Amino acid sequence: MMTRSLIVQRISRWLAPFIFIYGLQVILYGHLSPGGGFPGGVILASAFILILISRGKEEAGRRLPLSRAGRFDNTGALVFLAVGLLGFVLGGSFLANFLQRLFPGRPFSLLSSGTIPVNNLAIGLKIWGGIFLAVLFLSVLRVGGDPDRGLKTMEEE
Amino acid sequence: MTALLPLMVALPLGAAFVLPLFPRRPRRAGDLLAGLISGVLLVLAVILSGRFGIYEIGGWRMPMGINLALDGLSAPVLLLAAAVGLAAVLFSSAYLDTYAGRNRYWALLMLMTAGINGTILSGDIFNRFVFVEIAVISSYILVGFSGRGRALAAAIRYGLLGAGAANFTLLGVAVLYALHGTVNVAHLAGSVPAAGTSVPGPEILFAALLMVIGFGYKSAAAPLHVWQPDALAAAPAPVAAFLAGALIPAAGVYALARTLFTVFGHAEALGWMLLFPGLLSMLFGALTAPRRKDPRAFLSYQGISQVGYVLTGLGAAMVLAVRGEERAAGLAAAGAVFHLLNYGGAAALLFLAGGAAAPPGKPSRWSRLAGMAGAGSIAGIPPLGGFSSKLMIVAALWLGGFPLLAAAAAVTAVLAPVSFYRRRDEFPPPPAGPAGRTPPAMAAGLILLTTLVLGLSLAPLPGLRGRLLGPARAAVLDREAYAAYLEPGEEERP
Amino acid sequence: MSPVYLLVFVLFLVGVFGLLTRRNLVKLIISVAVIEAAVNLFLVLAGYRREGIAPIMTEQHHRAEEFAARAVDPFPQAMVLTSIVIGLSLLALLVGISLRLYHIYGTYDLSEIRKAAREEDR
Repeated sequence: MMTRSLIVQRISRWLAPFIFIYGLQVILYGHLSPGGGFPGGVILASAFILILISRGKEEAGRRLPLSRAGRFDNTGALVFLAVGLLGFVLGGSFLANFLQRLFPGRPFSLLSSGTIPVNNLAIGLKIWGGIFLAVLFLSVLRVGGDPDRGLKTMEEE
Repeated sequence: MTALLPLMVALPLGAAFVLPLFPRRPRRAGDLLAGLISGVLLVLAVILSGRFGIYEIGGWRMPMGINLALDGLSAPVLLLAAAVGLAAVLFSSAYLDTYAGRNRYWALLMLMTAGINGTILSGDIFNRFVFVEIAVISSYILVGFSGRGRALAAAIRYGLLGAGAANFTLLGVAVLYALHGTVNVAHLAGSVPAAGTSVPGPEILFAALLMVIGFGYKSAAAPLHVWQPDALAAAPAPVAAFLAGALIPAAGVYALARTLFTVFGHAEALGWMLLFPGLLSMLFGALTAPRRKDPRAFLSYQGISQVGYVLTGLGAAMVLAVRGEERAAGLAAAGAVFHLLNYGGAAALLFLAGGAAAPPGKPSRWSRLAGMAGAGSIAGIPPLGGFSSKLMIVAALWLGGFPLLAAAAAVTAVLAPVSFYRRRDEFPPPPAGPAGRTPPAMAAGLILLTTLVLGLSLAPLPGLRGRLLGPARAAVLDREAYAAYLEPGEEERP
Repeated sequence: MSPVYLLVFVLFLVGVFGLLTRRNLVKLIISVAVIEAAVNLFLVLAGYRREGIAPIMTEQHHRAEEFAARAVDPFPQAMVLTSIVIGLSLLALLVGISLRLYHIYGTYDLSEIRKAAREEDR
């Protein structure tokens, strides 16, 4: 295992929380300004990918274990689907915006546009988990050895 | 009833994301859920067959929103995909013991089902592209699912070229959007080619060529077939059946037919874009197949030949429709759709029969029955569906004034039973799966598809003809009917 | 037809050329990425408008018609975002399979991998 410079480790430790908060902001304001679930989720994941690159996959795997990232991935997708199906039941059409009446589309206010922020959160969760999972998986594969065994030892840790 | 349309995509999608949440226990939950969902999908497809209409997602009116559409062409393909899907799921539940990662397998299979159903139902060309990609990306993983070198090599070749082909489709979508400012199929059907002209301009032909390359790759038509024999030989048997019986007919041939006939409209040049790869695949597949030793590779090339028949029929239908020969065009269109269904059912059946468990050294009773029905239909033995559909295509070519093409198609049709007969010992193919008695789930999958193949043979009978083939013919040839879906939102046209 | 479209098409053809002629898996994957970039560029260009503004409604725009007359088309941008997501997942998958193939065969050369796989089959 290669040695990592102390400066890189230190700075990335300070940077990661800020990147994470920025990602949250992009997701939460997705229905008002550029951004939304996908870019926000990628930013959230990149905070963890920074840890993975600068401090090793073991540390990143401790911060966000493989199984939890997988759960984020699937839960996000399911929440989105549930919103769609609720629209089917409550709004009369698949993905209908059934919360519109509760939170009407007032421009520039955080609590507006009905189901869109919920969907943004769901997508953000999914992309966060999914992208991190993909990069973690590739980094395990890259090291060589048996990838399945590599993943198994990481899950046990 | 069209209110049920989004469930065809939402149910398998939900299953695909629920399954990985429970990685280990309970052990058979994945099998049960996948079987249940596939069964419900088949019931839904049966209920929906024969009903036509659109569904506007989220209540957004056409052409602004996303919509799902069901008509005489999409309904039978949906039914085929649902039947093949259920058979593959039933078969997998008994076949899977040889593979690790059961729930991952089910999740991918369900994702592929969602993609295929979405491809069939999507009412705009961009979402069709997205759904095709969902189906195809899951299929790349499933082809390499065993993790063995040969399967992975087939998967990466399939995936690399598939990624290239997908971008051809996307570029075609982009060109159409740049020209007409919409991706809605009904909206495009009313505006391509530009109003007042009957001959498409070069930019429309360019977009059509991009679509033919993109979807032609997925349908494994002759110059673009390179991935198919390797992938079908390396994939687990139920995945090969699903690929040959649902993915190639839906994401390849159906998507191609829908795009060319409904979006681009009728023009001779477009017809030849279908006829050329069609004839090439028909002849090339039939001539190459006998030289392949592996029974699965033999089947793959025979499958290419059958897809060639379908494309030939579709191309002839378009050319004849332009020339005003209504009867011959109708016969060709009906024959092509019918042959697509026959090919899908029979190919899936043969790939499943090849993987059925059997006593060592000889095929089981079930797989022998299934192999006979499937091989008979693909080879075109008289009472079976494959014979009727090939006859329809040959007759349409003859009536429409293509005696040479008719002769080529007829000779190829005669060659197929000969080459199947010469390898009769291999059909049903020797089992590739675990040895032992055929488990009931496997037998159920085989019986389901055998019923489908034999049932399809009855479709040309006078009483049934109007139910399946009539609407299909109308959906292929009548572009205005599809454009009329837009009418409720007429005033919103820019 | 602006020369920009021609450049995009050249980029597209460069990618296709790479996909058809290279044998190294890494180069093939890069070719796929180049094709994808070309198509995405074309999509963005399809919605481009000279001196257009970003299609984001802010408090400065009081009238929707005025805004719509000046903003660039946001729809191709939505398509590009979707296509990027698809491309990303595809790229991750292809890289993953290549790494695994390298682990098995010790090479990234696709024709050598296929030859070895065929021999293994016998």
